[in-house]
Amino acid sequence: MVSVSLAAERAGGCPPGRVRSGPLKLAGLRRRYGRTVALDGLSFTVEPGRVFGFLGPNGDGKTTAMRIVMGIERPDEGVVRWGGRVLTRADRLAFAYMPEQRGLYSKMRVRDHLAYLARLHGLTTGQAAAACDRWLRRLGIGVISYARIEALSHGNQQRVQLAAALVHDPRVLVLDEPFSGLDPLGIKDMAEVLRELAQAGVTVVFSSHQLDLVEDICDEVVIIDRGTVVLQGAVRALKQHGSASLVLEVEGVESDWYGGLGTAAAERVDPNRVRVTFHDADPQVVLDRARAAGMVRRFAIQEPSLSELFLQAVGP
Amino acid sequence: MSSASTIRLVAGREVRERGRSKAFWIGTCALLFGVIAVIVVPAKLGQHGQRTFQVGTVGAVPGGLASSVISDAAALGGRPDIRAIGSGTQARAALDARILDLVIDGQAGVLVRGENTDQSVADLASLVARDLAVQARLQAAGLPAERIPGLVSPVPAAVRSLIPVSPGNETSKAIVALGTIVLYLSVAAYGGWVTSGVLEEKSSRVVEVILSAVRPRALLAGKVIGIGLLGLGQFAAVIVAGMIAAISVGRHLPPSAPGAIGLIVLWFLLGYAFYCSAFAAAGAASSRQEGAPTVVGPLTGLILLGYLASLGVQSNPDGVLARITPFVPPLAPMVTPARMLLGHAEPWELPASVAVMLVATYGLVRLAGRAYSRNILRFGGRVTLRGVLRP
Repeated sequence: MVSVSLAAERAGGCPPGRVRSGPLKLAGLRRRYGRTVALDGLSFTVEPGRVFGFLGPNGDGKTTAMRIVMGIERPDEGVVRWGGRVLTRADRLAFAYMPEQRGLYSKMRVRDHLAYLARLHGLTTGQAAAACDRWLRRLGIGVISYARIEALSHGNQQRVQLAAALVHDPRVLVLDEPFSGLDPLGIKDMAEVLRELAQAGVTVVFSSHQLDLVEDICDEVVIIDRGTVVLQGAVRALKQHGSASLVLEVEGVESDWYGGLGTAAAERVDPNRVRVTFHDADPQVVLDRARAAGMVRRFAIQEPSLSELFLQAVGP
Repeated sequence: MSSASTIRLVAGREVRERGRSKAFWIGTCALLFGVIAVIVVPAKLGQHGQRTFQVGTVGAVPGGLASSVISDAAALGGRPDIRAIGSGTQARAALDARILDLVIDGQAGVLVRGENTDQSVADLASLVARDLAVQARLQAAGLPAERIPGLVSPVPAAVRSLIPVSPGNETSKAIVALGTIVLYLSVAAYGGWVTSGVLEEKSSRVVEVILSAVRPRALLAGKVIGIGLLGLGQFAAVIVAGMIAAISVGRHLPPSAPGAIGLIVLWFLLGYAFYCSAFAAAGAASSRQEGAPTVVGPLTGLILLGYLASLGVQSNPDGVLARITPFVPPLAPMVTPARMLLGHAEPWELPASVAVMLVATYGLVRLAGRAYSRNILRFGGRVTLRGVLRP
């Protein structure tokens, strides 16, 4: 993917009247379907210029919340504010939405389709044409401008889908599982684009269950469970505050040298070596005991991974 | 962005994308070809207009026979081409080869081919046979030969109509018959387009992206207007082609023809407006392309019912059916042109039926628009009629 300075591009490409921005705030969203509660007073705030991960078990209201932000579903209670004011339909023209189940008009030609979406978001014919050219070039799909979408490879369809979301130079991106179905190269391209957009001041919110990925590219995450927030914060801070674990790998030892040292999990990594993880033990004590027992091959203090934080947050 | 410009954008996409599709052009060509064939083929086969009867005479025929054959043929809406044939054998051969329609064989009487003889030729043969018999009687009664033709084919007495026959009535019937078929096919076909278009958006999920920028009603309005414009264009092309075909085969279009065609176009628009929102709601109510026939079935059935009712109205344009159905909105588009053009409608009937239709359309569009908006983002689950209609 060709990477061009985004700030420079936006200066020429951003349609007038789109300068408004500010935090996106979901306040007390409630939504039920019959007896199922999808959202139960969901509140969180996303600052502009951040990549924001929106996590939670499947069927836990993430899609509902995103649809409410995009105005294609109404909450039973609560509001969405943007830059301090209640979000309006006109504001949402500066938003981009990529639903989890992707789809475009399969018989349309790529450029026609992008231009159509740009115009629906309020760009003039001229602005739409310029935006199409810019994004086709930027995502490296200029050569397929006049191909029908149904004739494209899976990878190119994914790129067109991304271009379709970005063609009107949105201030806020709302992406539902943007990484699902992408190959590693596609994931890298997508992550790059999201990072660059955030650096250029765009608000990026996406849901995902690929937690390693979220850990790598998100500045901030919110984890919801049963329709309400259970954990929120900057990824770095969450990891630092989470309980760190101590990992040792010791060779040629008696089987239970670690007894009585706090919560421990042991696994044999090869016939002669055992890896033991402690959650709340004194490192000095553990190290002394291990050295007495055998040869220490690895000694590390590990921050919790996002997966661990997630499991702790939504666990039973 | 205003609703109007959004609707224009959506409608523009429909017109461009569908106008470019092969399916549209194949359908248009098939319809044009069909209409032209219906007009041109019968005219070329001589089913309509001036029929020329090929009449051969063998041997001595009674004086004045020619003038009675001419008036007999005229009574059947044609004219004879009479020529003398050398021998009976030659005449039989010509009859067999369909060069002649019938042969008057002096004293032996009238000869026709027999098998596959046209009804009008059979009618002419029996008229001519009766003339021959009358002439023979008159001759036997000793009447002078020169007085016989005047007696056999006199100037007929006037026939007056109790209910005046409007000029060009036959042409009106043809216009109504053909127009109603095209109207019926068009409303059903464009309705089907609306359903499949809505379903295409829904099943590909592109609708979620579109609806994050556009109100459901604007998307719906743009879609039905776009397809309606294409339909109107196709309808107009069919009418122009039909008129050119009719004129080129020598059919005389009465002065009332443009009015008749205008009335059919008006009812096409009313019919499409009435049905399109229901077709859209049907598309929104199903989740997959396979579900479409179930939800569209009742609608196309209703349109077919209207067409069948129209056949009844065409054969009896002043009957009870013809008086009532123009005020039954689902049937009105197909039956009202027949009632107005062929029957003797009171002046208030047309505006009244249009008014009833407009009120019903307003109600249906509101109901169907609501059903569409509610169902367009609802995926999965079985479609029930109650689900579609629930306010």
